[in-house]
Amino acid sequence: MSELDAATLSACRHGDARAFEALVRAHQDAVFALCVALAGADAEDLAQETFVRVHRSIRSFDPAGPATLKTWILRIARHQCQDRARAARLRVERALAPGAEPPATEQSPEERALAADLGQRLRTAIAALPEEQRAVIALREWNGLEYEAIAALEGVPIGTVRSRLARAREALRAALAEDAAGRNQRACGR
Amino acid sequence: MPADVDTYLDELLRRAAPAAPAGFAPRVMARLQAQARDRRRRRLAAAAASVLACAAATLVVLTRAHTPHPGGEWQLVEARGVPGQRAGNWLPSQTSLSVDRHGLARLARAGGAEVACAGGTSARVAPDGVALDQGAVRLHEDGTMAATELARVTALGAGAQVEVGLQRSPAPVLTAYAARGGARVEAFDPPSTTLLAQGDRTLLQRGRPAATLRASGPVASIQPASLPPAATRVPAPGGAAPPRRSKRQTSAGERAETPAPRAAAIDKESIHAAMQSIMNRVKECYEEARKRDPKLAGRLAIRFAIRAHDGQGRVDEGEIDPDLDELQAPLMEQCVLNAVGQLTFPVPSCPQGDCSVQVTYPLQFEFVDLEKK
Repeated sequence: MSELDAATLSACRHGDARAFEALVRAHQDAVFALCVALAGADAEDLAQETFVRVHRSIRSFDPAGPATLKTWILRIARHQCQDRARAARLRVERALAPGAEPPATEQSPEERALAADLGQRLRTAIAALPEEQRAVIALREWNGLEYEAIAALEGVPIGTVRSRLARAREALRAALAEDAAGRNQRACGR
Repeated sequence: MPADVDTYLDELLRRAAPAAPAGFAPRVMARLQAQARDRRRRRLAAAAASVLACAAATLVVLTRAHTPHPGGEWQLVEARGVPGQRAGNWLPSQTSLSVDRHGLARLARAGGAEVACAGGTSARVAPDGVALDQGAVRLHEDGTMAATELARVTALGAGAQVEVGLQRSPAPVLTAYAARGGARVEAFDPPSTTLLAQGDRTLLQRGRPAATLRASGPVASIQPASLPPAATRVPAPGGAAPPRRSKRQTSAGERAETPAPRAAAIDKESIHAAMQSIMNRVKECYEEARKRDPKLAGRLAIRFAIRAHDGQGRVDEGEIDPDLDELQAPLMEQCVLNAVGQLTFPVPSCPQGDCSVQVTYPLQFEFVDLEKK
């Protein structure tokens, strides 16, 4: 469930606790992923605080306005995480828990080990990205937002979003390739 | 890596997407409920407090005529902007004082001791002084004391005048300035004692040694137990350095008298060249301060006087111009002042005898990320 129906949203705006819980469930993964990318180990606390703020100001959300409910909530989460984002790069890797990867039962034990290893390297590489690139990865790759929505949320032109995403992906590709090359060299050297 | 790297990266990223932990939504709802309970409780407590306040006020009115003053060592001499207090009140120990932004509270004790609380100060009155929670006080006379969580500041010498300021944000910082007489500053963490002579300023932050700016010139060495009265002490040339007054402080008490310096001159290029020689140190001060506050930026102006000492022009008095201080970063300002205090200049050319050159040097601090440019 990505967006709420109008009736549930209306109930939220009138203080219905069940409706608000439905709203939380609908958007918790998106908010949590963004908070993990930006603030690492503090993600759960910040994600909870985001929903507290959403609850406080849900009446001010205009369903007929330019922002969808999801981008409106993510904007609150973005502001919430901003202050802690810069100091959190090192903690991001820890928060990107290995449990996030679903087990692939059709894989052999060697393939599973390799996939787990790649996942770990990817987490390390994401944690090493600058804050604005981590935000774009979270919004685009994990939350599936359009470039226009990301540009509005980040307050930058679409071209900047594209270039940040391209740079982030390039850095991730390079990090994975470099790591793989290093491993191959070590394997050959044995 | 597989050949179709982009597709593979997409797949990896998809797998790495974090999901909210189990039980997240119920925890959010519990947090919302707890906050709602807190709000209800606070509203109830406020209502109960107002009832109690009414009852207490009635009791005071009923008993006032029959009770002599409550006793205590301090009397409130002046009470502007102090809620619930008026001049003439005797203050029992542990009385809390909260002075509004524009107010002033002046407390006096038999024997001449006096404490002036500037606007925006909150403090508790203790038998020997005030326990400062926030804001600034001025201590007058020997033995008058202000205690904070960082240090205890005691005025030394008859006619002493010591300004004490406690700033809480972003981290507690205490400044003490001996405008007249001297002061003893006993820091708790790390434990140390600093003795301030007239014109000295020290600055304290938890876990750091005191940063002290000494007044230059022949200030008498400090012997706390036997400080001579301020009037008989040997003054620094030109008198004491003017106290650095925070914007919150009001004009409690008078300033140390400063004889007007005679006109003198140093060419601007010499001053500029000298200032340029400490720019690296000043940048380090700024970088250090930005670790505490990454958004720190703005203008400040350093005011200092140059006098001839030992065949050189030396900085005699220095302060950050309180009217042009957009940074409000005391540790950084102390660091900059320390650097300025080391400068040497050409000897000022004086029409006759001793003279000083007054300099105001503005600096703009701004962080430029060269990597992003």
